[in-house]
Amino acid sequence: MSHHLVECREVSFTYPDGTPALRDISFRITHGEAVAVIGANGAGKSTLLLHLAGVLLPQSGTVRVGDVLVDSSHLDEVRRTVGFVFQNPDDQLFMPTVFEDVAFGPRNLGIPEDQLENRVLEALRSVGADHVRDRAPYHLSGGEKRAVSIATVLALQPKILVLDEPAANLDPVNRRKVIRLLTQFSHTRILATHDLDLALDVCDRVLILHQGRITADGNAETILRDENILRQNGLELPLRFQGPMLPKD
Amino acid sequence: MSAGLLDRALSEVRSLDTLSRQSTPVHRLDPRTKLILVFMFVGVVMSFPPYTLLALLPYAAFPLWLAASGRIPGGALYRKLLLVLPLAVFVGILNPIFDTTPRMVPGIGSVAGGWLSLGSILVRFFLNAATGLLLLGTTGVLSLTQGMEALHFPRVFSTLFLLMYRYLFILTEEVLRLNQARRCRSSARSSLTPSLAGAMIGSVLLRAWDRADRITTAMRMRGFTGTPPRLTPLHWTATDTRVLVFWTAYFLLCRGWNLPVLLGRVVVGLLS
Ligand SMILES: Nc1ncnc2c1ncn2[C@@H]1O[C@H](COP(=O)(O)OP(=O)(O)O)[C@@H](O)[C@H]1O
Ligand SMILES: [Mg+2]
Repeated sequence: MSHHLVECREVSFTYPDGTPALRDISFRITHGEAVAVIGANGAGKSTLLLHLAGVLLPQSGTVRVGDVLVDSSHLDEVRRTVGFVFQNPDDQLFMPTVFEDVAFGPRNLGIPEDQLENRVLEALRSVGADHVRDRAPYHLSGGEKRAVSIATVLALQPKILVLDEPAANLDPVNRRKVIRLLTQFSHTRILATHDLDLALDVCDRVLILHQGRITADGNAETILRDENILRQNGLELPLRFQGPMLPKD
Repeated sequence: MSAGLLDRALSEVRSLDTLSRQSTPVHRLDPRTKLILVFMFVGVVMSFPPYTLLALLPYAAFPLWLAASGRIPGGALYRKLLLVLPLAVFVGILNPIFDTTPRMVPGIGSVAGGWLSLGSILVRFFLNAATGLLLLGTTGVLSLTQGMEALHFPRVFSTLFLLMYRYLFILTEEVLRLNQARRCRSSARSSLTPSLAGAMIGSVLLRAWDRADRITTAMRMRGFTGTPPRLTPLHWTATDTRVLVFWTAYFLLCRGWNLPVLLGRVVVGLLS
């Protein structure tokens, strides 16, 4: 099932203002894997994800999604394979109603009108948001917005889901809902987060980015229990692995 | 414009969007019918000579009908109109000063031309603005762009309309956010200096540009190629034809005869 494959080879990227954001990134993610890209603020997580969706193109090295090379001539195929959920749902939702917003993608793909409603409702139902179908996206709560923005991508039936900070700005209840949702999917999932407990709940594999480089790649549980590795990369143990809060010395 | 006002304006436009999702006889009309009627309405209202006042009044029937059968609350409309009123006053305010030629108004007497044309500007403004807002409130942005497409408006036009509507919100939200941040960090007495305002405007534009860029990326990633998505097919019904014929006839009738004056003559004739 090579079309569910994601592979970066020696990818480097520097922003136009001279900020080096990715240096020599290589990894390979196979079908059905759930991978967390973790790292401190500014480590390059978002930049990496944007490369997987073809929004940014590598300045050197190659990105492959499924059978296609991510370059300017294959963007349509890449976008049909990869569903990208933005960090800020307000960037993702732009239509006057939730229904129209979720229908936007399938309509652009030319899904016939009689199949459209089903497609949209199915996507909304799978994120538990079918009750807000006629509301305006900007009137929704943070948790509902997040759910709907995931639905807009699911409606396109992508093979690979890429999510940037899926639990950012959510309260604990909604955060748990998103985690439960993400564990249910059978897609290949790649998510950037600095919420290590979420990474542990959803993913079996972790990539640590530090100053644009991959500094660790392996089993989630192993890496997330290793206080030394985490500290070297500007991270802390997940809350559940931290001992009782005792005053130091 | 103060942030409070901007915030209100924004929520007013959004409330119109919410109203556009009702299902009333007016909402069910084909968007083309409403678009054609509104364009005709604006055209006819603007075609009257500058000092016309009374002859414009019968045209209020059209927005009143839209509001009543489209169940758009008068209060909601009234507040929106007040928000844009300063613009109309600004256009006509100098007329009474420069134009003092007396003119006869039937039933009222002699009035300075400047006041008459200011009045005429305000009346037209209210009629057109109310009708435009009602069009949005009874049709919704999406159906409007669809109607424009179906009427063979140039495609750029309907796409621009859709995007501008979205970007309007983005820009306003950025202004609000920035202004809030400024107020949180400044004392009650420190005011907005020109240089600070300049820096803020620059920052708002840059941030709005960034967001617009991200949203456009999000749209492209969902297959957007520059044409508004097609919606459920439009249906022109017999009601559409009837409504179109009725109001067209009414607009033209009121353009030919000054109804209030005619009525006045009839009443006077009956009484004497
Ligand atoms: N549009 C941009 N222009 C210039 N530099 C950027 C841009 N976006 C991000 N950066 C920089 O690139 C680095 C990586 O950023 P990012 O990928 O957003 O990190 P993360 O998502 O891990 O917080 C940071 O140093 C950041 O300041
Ligand atoms: Mg980020």
